[in-house]
Amino acid sequence: MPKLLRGLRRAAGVIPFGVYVTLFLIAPMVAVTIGAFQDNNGGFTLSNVNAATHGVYLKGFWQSIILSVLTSVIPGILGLIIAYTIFTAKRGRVLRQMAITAAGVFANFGGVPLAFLFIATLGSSGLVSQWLTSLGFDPYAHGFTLYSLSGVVVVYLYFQIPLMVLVILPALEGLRPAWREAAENLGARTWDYWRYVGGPVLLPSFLGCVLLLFGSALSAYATTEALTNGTIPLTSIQIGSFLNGNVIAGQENIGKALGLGMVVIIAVAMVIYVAMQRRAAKWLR
Amino acid sequence: MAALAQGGSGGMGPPSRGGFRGVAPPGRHSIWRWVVLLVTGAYFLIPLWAALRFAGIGAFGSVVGEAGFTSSLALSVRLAVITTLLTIALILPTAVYVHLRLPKLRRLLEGITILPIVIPPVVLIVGVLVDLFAQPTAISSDTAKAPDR
Repeated sequence: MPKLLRGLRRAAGVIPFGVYVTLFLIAPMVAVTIGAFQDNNGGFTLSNVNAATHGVYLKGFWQSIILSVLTSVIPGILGLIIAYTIFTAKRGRVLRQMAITAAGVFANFGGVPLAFLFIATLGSSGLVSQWLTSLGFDPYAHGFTLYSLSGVVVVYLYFQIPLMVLVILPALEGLRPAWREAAENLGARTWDYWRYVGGPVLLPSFLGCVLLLFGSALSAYATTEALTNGTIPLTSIQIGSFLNGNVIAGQENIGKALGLGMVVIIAVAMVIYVAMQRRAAKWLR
Repeated sequence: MAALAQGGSGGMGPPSRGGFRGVAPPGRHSIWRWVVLLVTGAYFLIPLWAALRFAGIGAFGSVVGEAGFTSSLALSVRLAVITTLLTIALILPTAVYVHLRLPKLRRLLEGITILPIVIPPVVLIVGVLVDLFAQPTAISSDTAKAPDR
């Protein structure tokens, strides 16, 4: 019993945080989960989940997943290259500090301001669109528009790449220079080093970071909403329309079923993330 | 975000003189380094420049005099300051305490702090707004937009 008491006293320091997490993270998720299986009178039903996995909502899930995969893999690779470039730069300390600060700012861009930046840049009369047109290549004559899935991907890179740089830099710092020196002393070329040493060591944390980007892309909402006015049926936007009351009366709980669906997708991603993170830690210790 | 970045910056910095700088020997990929840095810089700076051109420098003068500008700026700043202070007040003691007393909880804490990035805020809003602070099944525009909720 005294052991239990001591344990409780030691846990006291995390109570405020625990209360906060319970109120604002766990309780809403529980509420969403319960609501997803309730009809309007509070009785149990599967019709919400059924509706959420068919028709326009199923399409929303697919669009969301496709967009999230594209905007986690592409910025994942680009972010790794950029982070590596910054990491290996001569007199890198100043550059690295600047890059981390800038990445922190850009990673928090989103919503209407970000949409405006890109309408001014790649909109039909945007700055870069005009440059390209004057060079003889009109992107809008070749099937590109900013207000489509491919346009949204370009915009998402603006906050996803900096996020990748921020989360992958610690992993790069785990690459010991001595490993490269040792590999070269044993006759390894650059390719051999990356194939047998650098790559395998980096891979788990790279995949973990990509999964983090996947979640970030899946939950992004305001940017696409501002850019496309809901013409791309993403799940997050569909939930938003439930929140705004733009639905037929009596279907409110479908919004919660959609929310539950997103949590399930994230949960699957998180399980993989944690497993890989653990492997990465084992390698780098 | 800054917290994520801090995790690694305590690692090994490049030795200043006579040592090994980073993973690649210096100068080996210097052209590629410049290409990458230039393209990255262009991608991040051109939209800012384009937006500035579109808005026009003059717009900054006139927007200050716009009705409601001062109050909405004040509200934004107030929200930013309050949320920042609350976050620091909540997280700093917790992080120090866990680091010193309950190191076993570090992984769990890390996991929890990642959750808000990956769980769609929209899901949390549906949960908080509708079920904790309002009528059970009333999802109406009034509930969602009421400024005091």
